[in-house]
Amino acid sequence: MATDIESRRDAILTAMVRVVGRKGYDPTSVADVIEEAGTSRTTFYKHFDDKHDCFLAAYERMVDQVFDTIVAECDGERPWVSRVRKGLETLIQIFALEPELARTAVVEVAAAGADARKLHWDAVNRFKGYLEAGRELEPGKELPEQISVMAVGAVSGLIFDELVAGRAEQLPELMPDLLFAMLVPYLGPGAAADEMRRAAQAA
Amino acid sequence: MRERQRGNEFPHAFEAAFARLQVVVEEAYVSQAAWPDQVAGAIRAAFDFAATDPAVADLLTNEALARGADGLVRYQRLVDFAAGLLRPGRDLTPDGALLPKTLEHSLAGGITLLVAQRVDQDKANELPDLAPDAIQFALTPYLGSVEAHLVAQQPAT
Repeated sequence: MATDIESRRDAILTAMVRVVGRKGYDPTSVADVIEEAGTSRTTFYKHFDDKHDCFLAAYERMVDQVFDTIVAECDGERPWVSRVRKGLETLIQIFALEPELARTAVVEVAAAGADARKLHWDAVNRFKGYLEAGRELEPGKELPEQISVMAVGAVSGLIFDELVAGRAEQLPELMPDLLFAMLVPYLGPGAAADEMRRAAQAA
Repeated sequence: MRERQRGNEFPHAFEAAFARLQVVVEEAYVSQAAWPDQVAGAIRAAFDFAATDPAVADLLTNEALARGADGLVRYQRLVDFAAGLLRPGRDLTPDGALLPKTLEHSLAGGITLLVAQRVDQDKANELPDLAPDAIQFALTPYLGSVEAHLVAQQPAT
């Protein structure tokens, strides 16, 4: 019974992510979500106060799932550059396979109000945490305090542009550029360009 | 919490704010002779602008992103403007032609995200102190980390 209730809640959360990614946050209604989830209005309101409450839960769960997938794909023993490349590849593959999820995660969250933006900044900080180890590559090098926030912003800005243009499926083609954007603040242009060329050859 | 623009007021408010920002940034940019100093001056001016008027900075970033298709197009013009100021850096490096064509948009996106985050967290007053970080970030792909760091640490003129 508990599992059934949980799976209905999960179905609603999944539906919220899909519908918002397809229609946009503002135009999405509870009716759209319950239709997508194949459930009833009663069930929806058993789990959530309103659309916004459901969106926040859906966004939080989506971020956790994306991070869990990335962490599972990235071997902690690998060198930092290799982990960054694999993590970025994994993220891009998720977004390319699930464009609606990508658009909800990167574009539509801004329309869902201050609470949703806070979740977005929390997600940025989680990515930032993974990048911070890049500071240790050359201990004497003076890197900016805010380098990791801006590196995340550089990559998310390019992804944002592709999603707004409706090109989620083409994101893997942008992998060399995304990798360069993420690595250049830490490695400098020469080493970042080498990694970019390797990524282009691998593609 | 900053007061947000009503739907029909947003386009005019955005354009007025964007025009003000462009004037401030372009004046700072052309007041310097060398391109790295031009970028440094422009970033300092933009960060001072955001710290002085966080509501306007919020309008140009977080609010624009929340406004659907119209807001997204306007926000992308803001990023295009910033990217255009960085592009001459390609001429300063022998490997300029090898840099990814998306580089300037990624740098502008990174700096804009830093501003949007600080403004949204009511920490816009910290931005002037963060300008050197953004300057080094913007210049590193063209000058390398060491030279970019030196430019970033120079006092504002």
